[in-house]
Amino acid sequence: MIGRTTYRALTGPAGRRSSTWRLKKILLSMMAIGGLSFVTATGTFALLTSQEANRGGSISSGTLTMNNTVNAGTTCFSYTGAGTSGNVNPACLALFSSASQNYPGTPATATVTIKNSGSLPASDLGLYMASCTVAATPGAPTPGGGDPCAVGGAQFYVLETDSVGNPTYCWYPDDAAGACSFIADTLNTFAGNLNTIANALDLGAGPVAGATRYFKIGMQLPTNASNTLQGEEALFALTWHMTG
Amino acid sequence: MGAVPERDAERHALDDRNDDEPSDHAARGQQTANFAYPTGTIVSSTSGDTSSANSDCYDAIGTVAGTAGATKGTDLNFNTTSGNPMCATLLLSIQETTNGQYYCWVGKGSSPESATGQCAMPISVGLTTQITNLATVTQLNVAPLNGNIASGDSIVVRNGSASQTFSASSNVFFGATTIPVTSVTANATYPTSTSSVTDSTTLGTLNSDNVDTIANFNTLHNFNLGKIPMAPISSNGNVDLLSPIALSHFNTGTFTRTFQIGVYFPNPNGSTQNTMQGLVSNFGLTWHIDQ
Repeated sequence: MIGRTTYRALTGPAGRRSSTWRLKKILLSMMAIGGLSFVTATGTFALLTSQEANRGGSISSGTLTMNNTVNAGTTCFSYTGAGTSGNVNPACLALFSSASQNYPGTPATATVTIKNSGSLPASDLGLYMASCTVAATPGAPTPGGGDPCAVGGAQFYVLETDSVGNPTYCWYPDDAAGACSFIADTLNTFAGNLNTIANALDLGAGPVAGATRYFKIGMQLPTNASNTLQGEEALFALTWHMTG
Repeated sequence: MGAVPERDAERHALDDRNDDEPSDHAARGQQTANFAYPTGTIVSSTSGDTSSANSDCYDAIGTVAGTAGATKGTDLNFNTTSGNPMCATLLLSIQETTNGQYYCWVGKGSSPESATGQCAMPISVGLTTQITNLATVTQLNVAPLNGNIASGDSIVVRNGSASQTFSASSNVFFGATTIPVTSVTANATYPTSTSSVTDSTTLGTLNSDNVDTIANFNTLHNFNLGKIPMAPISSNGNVDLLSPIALSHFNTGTFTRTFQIGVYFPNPNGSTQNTMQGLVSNFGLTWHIDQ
């Protein structure tokens, strides 16, 4: 009974055409509204965005450069000047020259001022002698044929001082606080053992940025030098190496 | 990211001087101006970083000394900006630390993502509590960490020529002030004023890293492609990729997210880096949200 009434309501033999037309109109209206909603949706719900840029950031690297002054001579720089390349200057002034000829037991000294002219501290300072070779002293009439770089040859030290020359630490050969003393065969030992960056004489940390360290390099022929060392000279270079 | 103006600026200047037919311009790689661009117009490159050789992070020679009177980039004759060497060397890390949860978005630890969410970020801090010689040490009290420590990392405490290596016994994150370590007896006294604390494991990891550079980030994640979708963190080292909201609106849920941006200049053992003295790497990061 209930089913039949329901069926009639839906199919409705009486007034069937008007009910169908009304239903069609309702459906068409809903489709139109739906279509309109679709068309207007992009305008109603806009895509919102927000953006910020942390611009103009910059990261700077520091510098690690060295100034080298021998006695009161012209300062040479690791980073500029004739002959420099890659923060290396191989043409700083010589410590000694053959013009000052030495007698056995008479020391010759030179001061070297090392300044860290960069903005970063040096974690390590090293010193090495790549080679030591013998040559006849220019102008010597009768070279003796000996070798000041060899055993029995010249004596050598590396002393650190304060800014006015007072000894503070003997780095070679003593490795102890205070002044250095001349010891036999030390030029030969230095050149033989401390001749590359890898096995350089370790002069400790520093100088820090803008700071200066002072060194005195000492050399002499032994008091009991052989006559064969007459008219002979030792040719060597000292290289200072700083690591950041 | 930073502008690379030279090429475009030249092109505009050339257009201004020549008034040929547009077809001639095209044939010669020229272009007809579509507007009268006045002096001061900002010129930027939006396509300059599509290859690894062309990065929007760019290097410049430094003109300001790091300390008064010291040498600066322009004083040196051995540094170079050719190829943007510092951009290609500096390591970038982006560590999210939102609500005490961690995710490494960029840098060592991001690919593959670290299980702990930690980027490999170096630390360099001081002690806040002195270590006394012969004391039993189970933790280091330090200033807030400016990096991360993974469990098992070697932590080096140094004071002058004295040093001791400890082993971290748990993961420690950015900002922490204690580092738990495997119990050991101190070999010296380490005062707070002069002692430093570093993570040698992380330094070793980063010093050999040539992948997580700013230049590579710039190439892979530039303006036009490769933006990093930053889904919200669900737990350390994990994100919720299905979450419909990455950043809630003001005063609801997680409406603030925190990131630590780190840059590290690696120090490859035995490699000289003199050519990068006195340089300045210029770069930027852009953050973008949408609905």
